[in-house]
Amino acid sequence: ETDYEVEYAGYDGWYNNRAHPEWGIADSPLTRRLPSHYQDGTYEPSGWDRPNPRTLSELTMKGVTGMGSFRNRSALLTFFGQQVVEEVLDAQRPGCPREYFNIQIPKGDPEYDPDSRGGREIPLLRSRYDMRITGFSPNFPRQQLNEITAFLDGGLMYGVTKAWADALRLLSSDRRGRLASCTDQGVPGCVNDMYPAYNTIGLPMANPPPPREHYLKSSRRFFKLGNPRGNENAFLLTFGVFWFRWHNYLADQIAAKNLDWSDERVFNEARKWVIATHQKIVLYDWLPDFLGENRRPADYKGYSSAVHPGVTHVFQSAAMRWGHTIVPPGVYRRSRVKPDGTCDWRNTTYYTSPHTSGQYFHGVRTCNSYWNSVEPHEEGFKAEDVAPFDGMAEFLLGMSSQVTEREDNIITEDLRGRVFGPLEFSRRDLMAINIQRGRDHGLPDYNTARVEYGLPPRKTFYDVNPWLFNGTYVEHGPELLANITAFATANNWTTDKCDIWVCGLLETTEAGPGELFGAVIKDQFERIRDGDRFWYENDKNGLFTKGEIEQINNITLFDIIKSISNITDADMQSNPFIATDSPCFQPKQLSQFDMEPCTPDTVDKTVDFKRETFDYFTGSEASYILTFMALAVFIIATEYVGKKEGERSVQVKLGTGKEIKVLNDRGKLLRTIDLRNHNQLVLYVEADKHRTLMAIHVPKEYDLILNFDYTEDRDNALMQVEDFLGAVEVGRRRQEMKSSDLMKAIVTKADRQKQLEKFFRIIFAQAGASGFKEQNGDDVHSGYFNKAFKEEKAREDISTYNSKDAKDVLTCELTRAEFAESLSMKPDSLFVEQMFNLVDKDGSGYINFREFLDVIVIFAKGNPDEKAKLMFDMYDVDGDGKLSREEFKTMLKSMMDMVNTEVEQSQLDMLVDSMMEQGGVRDREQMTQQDFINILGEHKQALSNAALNLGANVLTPGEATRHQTVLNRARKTIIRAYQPPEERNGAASNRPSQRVGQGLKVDTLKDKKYTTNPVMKNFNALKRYIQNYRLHIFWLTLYTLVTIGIFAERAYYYSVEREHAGLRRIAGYGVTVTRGAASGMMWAFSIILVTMCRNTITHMRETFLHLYIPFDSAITLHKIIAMTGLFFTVMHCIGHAINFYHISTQTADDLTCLFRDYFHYSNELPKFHYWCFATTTGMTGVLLVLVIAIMYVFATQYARRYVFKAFWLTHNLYPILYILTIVHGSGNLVQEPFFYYFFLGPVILFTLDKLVSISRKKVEIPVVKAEHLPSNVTMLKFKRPTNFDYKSGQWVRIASAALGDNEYHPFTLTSAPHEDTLSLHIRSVGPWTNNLRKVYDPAKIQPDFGYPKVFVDGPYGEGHQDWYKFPVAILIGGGIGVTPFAAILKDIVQKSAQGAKFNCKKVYFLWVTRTQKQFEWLTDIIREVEEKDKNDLVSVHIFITQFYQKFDLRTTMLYICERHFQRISGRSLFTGLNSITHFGRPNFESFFDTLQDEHPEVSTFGVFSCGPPPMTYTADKACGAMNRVDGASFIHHFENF
Amino acid sequence: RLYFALKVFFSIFVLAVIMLGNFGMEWEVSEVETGVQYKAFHNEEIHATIGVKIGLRAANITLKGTALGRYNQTPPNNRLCTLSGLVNREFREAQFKGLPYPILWIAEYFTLDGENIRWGRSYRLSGFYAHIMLWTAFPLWILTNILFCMFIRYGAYFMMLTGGVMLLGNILFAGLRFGPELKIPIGTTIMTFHYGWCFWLTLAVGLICVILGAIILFIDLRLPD
Ligand SMILES: Cc1cc2nc3c(=O)[nH]c(=O)nc-3n(C[C@H](O)[C@H](O)[C@H](O)COP(=O)(O)OP(=O)(O)OC[C@H]3O[C@@H](n4cnc5c(N)ncnc54)[C@H](O)[C@@H]3O)c2cc1C
Ligand code: HEM
Ligand code: HEM
Repeated sequence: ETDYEVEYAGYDGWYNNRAHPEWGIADSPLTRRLPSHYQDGTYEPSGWDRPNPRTLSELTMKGVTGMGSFRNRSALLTFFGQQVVEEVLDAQRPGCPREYFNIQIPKGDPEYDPDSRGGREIPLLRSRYDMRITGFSPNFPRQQLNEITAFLDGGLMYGVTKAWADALRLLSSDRRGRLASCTDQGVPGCVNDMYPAYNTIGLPMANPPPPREHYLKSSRRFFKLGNPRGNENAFLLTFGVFWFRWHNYLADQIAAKNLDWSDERVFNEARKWVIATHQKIVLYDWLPDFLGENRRPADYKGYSSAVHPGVTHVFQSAAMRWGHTIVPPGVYRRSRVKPDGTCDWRNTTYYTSPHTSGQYFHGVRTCNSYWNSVEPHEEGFKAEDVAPFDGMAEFLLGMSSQVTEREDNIITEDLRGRVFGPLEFSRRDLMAINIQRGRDHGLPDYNTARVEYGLPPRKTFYDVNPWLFNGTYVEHGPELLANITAFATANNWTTDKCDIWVCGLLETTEAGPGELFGAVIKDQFERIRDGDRFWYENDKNGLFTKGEIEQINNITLFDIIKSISNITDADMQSNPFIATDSPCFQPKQLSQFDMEPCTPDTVDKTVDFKRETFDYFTGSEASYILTFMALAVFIIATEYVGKKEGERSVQVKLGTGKEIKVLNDRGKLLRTIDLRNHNQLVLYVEADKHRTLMAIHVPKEYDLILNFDYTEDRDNALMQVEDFLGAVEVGRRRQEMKSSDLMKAIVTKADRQKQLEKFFRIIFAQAGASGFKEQNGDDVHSGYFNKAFKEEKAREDISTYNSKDAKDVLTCELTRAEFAESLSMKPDSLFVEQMFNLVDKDGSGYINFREFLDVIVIFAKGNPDEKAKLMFDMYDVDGDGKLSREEFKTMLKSMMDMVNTEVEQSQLDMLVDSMMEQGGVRDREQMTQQDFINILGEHKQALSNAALNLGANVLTPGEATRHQTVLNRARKTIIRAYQPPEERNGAASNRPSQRVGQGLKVDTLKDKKYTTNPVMKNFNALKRYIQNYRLHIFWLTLYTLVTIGIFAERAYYYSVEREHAGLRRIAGYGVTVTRGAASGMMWAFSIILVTMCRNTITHMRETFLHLYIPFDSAITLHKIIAMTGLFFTVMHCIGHAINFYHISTQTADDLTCLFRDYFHYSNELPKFHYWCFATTTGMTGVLLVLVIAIMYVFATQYARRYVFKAFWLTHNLYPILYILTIVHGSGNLVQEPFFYYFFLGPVILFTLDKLVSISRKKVEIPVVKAEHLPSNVTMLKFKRPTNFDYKSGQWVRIASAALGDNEYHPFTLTSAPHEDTLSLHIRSVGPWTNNLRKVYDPAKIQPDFGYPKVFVDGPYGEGHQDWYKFPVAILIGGGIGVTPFAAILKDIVQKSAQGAKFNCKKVYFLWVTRTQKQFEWLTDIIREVEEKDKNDLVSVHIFITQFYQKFDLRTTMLYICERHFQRISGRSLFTGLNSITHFGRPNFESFFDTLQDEHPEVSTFGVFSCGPPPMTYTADKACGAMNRVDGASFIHHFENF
Repeated sequence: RLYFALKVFFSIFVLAVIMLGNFGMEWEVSEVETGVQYKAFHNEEIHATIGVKIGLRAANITLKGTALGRYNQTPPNNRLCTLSGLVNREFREAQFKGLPYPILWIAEYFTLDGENIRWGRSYRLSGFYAHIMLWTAFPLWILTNILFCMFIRYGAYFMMLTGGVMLLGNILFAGLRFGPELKIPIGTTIMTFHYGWCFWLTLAVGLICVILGAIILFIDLRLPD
């Protein structure tokens, strides 16, 4: 009837009060009327001194249901009460982060702990509270929040936000003002707008798992209501439907009367009336019946702006929960009254209670309707076997005729033990929760509360309620009191320690709530009324006219019922809150025994937990295991090597054949145990301690000692070994022994090594003793050899060893492998085979002391004839004392084969002919030993120097350094003797090819030079190391510190500053680790780009900056950074394995707390695979791991060597890596993404750098000349682009138009800067270079087109440009690594020829190559250099590494051949070059050593090496060794390719 | 000359579009005129124009109304910017400030965050990814320009990439939504949302970049000079 514009009440309670617009609003703190008793005064729950809640619940609230209300209060009153609660109060949402405040279940609890296991808990989360300001300090302790408005303002029907209300509306201009119904949604069967629309749009309604079924269901099954908890049970929902219909009824009425009103206006008007009628019924009809007549609210005196309507804690946690005592175990549904005055009582369709034995007084069981509330309503229009009925009306009718549970201390089991709970605990005890909730809110004790409300305190429990306890009215009263008193005395419990809920409930009388609760509730509702500006009776708010107010005051619940259903006066009493006058009174007071039990209760189980639990990890197991399996690293076993050496991880391969192979974890063969020599092996098994050790005892060798992580693994391996030994017919014996005994019994590799060391030492001592002759001066080297051993002998005699050692050595036998190893040769080579057979006189398969000594003595004695004889014998295969021409050839061939040297058949023939001719056996087919010696002729002398060079690896640096040095020195002496025979004769020393020797004159041993003090030595080494690498060390330290800092910052943040945050709480230090590692990764993967800014680096190294920054180590740094990145990645992954496990075990709700940006439907449980594969973060994370795995696997040294293409291809996944990283962070799961802080700088620099490369790259350059050089080397000569400046030693990256213009390969420029063209020498090693060779084939060149053009990117700098800065530069080129030196040499010669001034006085060029074949193409360059080098600046040395040291027995023969060949053909058999060729690897150390003597004035030598890693490595080590002693320092630059 | 000027213009234009798209507030817009309750403690409705502009990181709600007749009050504070991760806090602040009802009611829509009703989150998420795309497009476009000076074909590739990323931004903005479509009943009407000029411009320029890039690439491949 209002025609003027109206200020309608808001939804969220705001601006109700003019002075305090926030009073009573949704989501604001509850009002505290009682003092808070938080344990710590601030937030720790109160009640720490009160008994266990569950105990109290059992003690004071247990009992059988089925007793009716004293006053015939109806069930309708009960559930109307519940919806009143939901209108003013919702404080059930737990806070974020979750705080568990579980209720301990006493041991042996009949419901929850029937098996007396103990330690069980009812989960309970503390309520949400105002985290902004409360709960920090005692003067403002924690204040829990009320989610909804305290006002009676229609939140129940419309929600507490306008948006929510809008979502409920139909918003139609035809049917104005209405709320949407399921008819509007077109739900079949839902006719006449009887029910609200289903929640298909997905309003966030409360949706816990229904305990009846115990799984999550979609919230779309609910009816859309204003009250988000309105679907909790079917009876509560009845009122939801009720108010929905009332609104629509009013809307239709209003719309009909006001045809011009908009939908909006009609809606607002209808809402206004719904709220007003609700207010009236609650305050003036329901409340008096609920509280009892004498607590009618005081008369309304008008709106009071000074009254705060806020809901109090005591109302929330205790008083208003009084309604729980009158909740019945089930509710009747009935039809309207039939003409005969009776009515039909509807049975439920659920299963029949075993208790009822066929008697059907079925109501809808309360406990089984939780969150299945819609079903009984739907039954009315959906069930097929039932005639359609109005579910709401049947519930209203049933509830109105049902007398509700009695007002007493007893609570129905539907609440006290069977109330719904989370998945992990399906049925909880609401009474225990009520008590605990009070404590959560910091409620004081009962007496304090009474005093605050102006009531006298109660001294004894009897005083609490004499009415109840005297037994007149309540039968169980005295027994209850007795129980309580007994418990109280036993536990020192008093009313001063009584929870408000417990004693407040005990106050209950037939009139209703006791004094305290009555006072609290009355006060609350009066304040809600008086403090509400929009209260319907407030005539100043302009909502209603006086007449309308009058009209509202006359509307009763029954009036509304009649208008929204077909219920008439005949069907129901006019006051439905009291059942007394019901026209169809309940047939029986419902008891729990009349209905089906609460699931999962069954009657005949002996141990019945009556609840279900859930492990949130369920369903995650498979994906969890599968995901992390893929990342796991397998360690098969670790081998124990020695006390000091520790352990190494190995793979043990059994078979094939009669052998056991030991491989390292990268699959490299470490050791072969040949089982052919053994009949029986002993297996030692550790029987105590960890029981993870086993050892295979191999006699005469060292034992294979394996350690495993677990006993099972060990036993498994043991079984396999035994099976294997059985299969290859080797006896085996298992010997279980104590850990300590085992450690004593075993012979470790280190032990064996020590033993061998001793063996060799004594052998040499003995050999020395058995007679070196002092030789004269011209035989310098052997003199030293000799002298060395004499010194040796002086110090060491076998007698100096104790007898055990001596015995050890004498019985020690060398295996074939050890023998080969001592010669640094492969065990399967022909030479070793023959040598071994020769030495192993007794054919035992081992070489014993005597046998070895015999051979050594032959070498030591230096009698050439004897040595020749040795060789002769070796190759005299048929043993007839004659060597045939063929055998001779075989001998030469086998030696050449041994070093992979191919000499053409004709050359060999020529050589053999010439040699035999010289020996005077030209025509004979056979030669005698003497002939052979003759053949050796003048070179026999060389043979006299031949020793058997023992590889360094036999003698590892052990404790006996002193002896070692002697041995080393001896060996050094042998090696040093590089002098060709001519030299020794003092002739022709000025020939260019022999200048070689000058710098390398062998000098006396300078013992004094070496500090023998090991500490000093190490100190020197360290000093030198730091000197040489101070920049590297500085930058690496800086990098490490920054990295650690970045890691630590996050780690600290998450472990300390966020200590109380949810995720940290749940995942523990997992978060610390993952976040720290994540930052580390971001940093590493960002900064790694800087190391690849090649143009920037090349440019910068030419500025002064190179003095401070070692630019040449960019790639090393790249790798180091990559390794840190990998380290952090692995850490991150492992951390997440932990985190995800923890996360997967959390309830879904708790997770939303942890991950603010994660959300899920209320019926979904995110499993591990969800996190891993269905979140942006998880999925990109998994992809990242894949990408990184691929990149790293293909970035290994191995992959780069063998599948370089794949390396480059996979390495170029890096943009994807970055994109994924960015997306990974954008998921926002834990923190705001901040990758770009790290990334932006480097990526910009990198991009710009890349742009420079691109701009440079695409210059096409015509190839002027291509040449096929021998040994698969292709020479390309192309135009020098304008402005192309470079230095010798720099390299370019080229691509060929014919081979795809995107594939760039690096090659060093072999042209010198002064030349007009650029040239490259490219060796074909792989697909690209091979194709290149095919394309640039001068034979196939088509004259019209010329060669395909090339793209050149570069030049890029390397350290080799610096050669001219050092007075003496040593250039070491290995393999194709000689290319930079080709350019440098040309450059040097050019410069020196021009007389250019530079620092450099002398350049040594060492060319190390595996086979002589690689020489061919460079010969010209070297020759050219030699010719042009007038100033004697360059000295060239060539080393063929396949050949062993010159004075080795093997190479002696070849050496002799070489000399022969040189004489007959004028050039080297192997190199064809003028220069002298050295056989074997250069010994850099002694070389450097003599260099130092040669150039005493030089303090710094520049060593530049380029070639395969082993070579640069030994060069590096030699430099290190030189730097270890006083004297000049050697600065090493190297490049590998 | 002209060609060069054109090139420069186009280059700057695209850059401007990317930035406008990034910071522009009109990716989705809605504007209605309606009679609506203006404020609390007052029963008169006003006639107002209410606009909502949704950008990639914020939503702007404006209210323009005739002054309240009887008291001649002009609304002093009539806009609210929201949608950040702290939307709830901002909203609470706005409530304390007492912004006009229509603004609060609309802003409230962006605060809801449960089950399927998460418009704020939905816009925030799609906007977030779209804005990442535009920030990606920005350096890509700069690279495109540089590359055009050096190497036409790469320039063309990057032009297409830039366009593609912009389009991806559009797709993500339009596609990363969940829950029901946003419709806000206000006063007597319902606000519905449609794409604004930022969206269309980004889409158009994205398309142009892709097409132009393709053309240039085609020409470059056909006529290498
Ligand atoms: C700085 C530098 C300078 C070089 N200078 C020369 C030279 O002057 N003359 C010469 O013959 N070779 C030189 N190389 C080696 C040359 O780059 C490779 O031999 C060549 O790229 C092999 O390509 P492929 O596909 O035919 O062989 P693949 O079978 O693919 O590779 C064989 C070996 O070459 C290496 N390699 C392959 N491609 C590259 C590449 N793009 N970058 C770096 N290494 C690669 C791999 O590590 C692998 O071990 C140089 C390498 C580097 C790093
Ligand atoms: C079948 C019926 C009912 C069930 C299943 C039920 C269940 C619950 C549950 C689970 C809680 C939350 C406990 C907590 O976590 O603190 C609760 C709270 C409460 N209940 Fe009931 N209850 C029912 C009926 C009633 C009735 C009839 C009343 C009063 C008339 C009532 C009054 C309250 C009050 C005041 C609260 C505190 C509400 C809040 O903190 O938001 N309940 N109830
Ligand atoms: C063990 C790990 C790695 C090794 C051994 C390694 C090694 C290399 C090598 C040898 C090159 C070529 C250098 C050259 O040609 O001059 C290279 C290039 C490069 N690497 Fe790595 N790298 C590793 C990991 C990574 C990682 C994790 C990233 C970052 C995501 C990365 C990014 C790059 C980039 C961007 C280039 C330059 C590519 C180009 O020029 O196109 N690398 N790396």
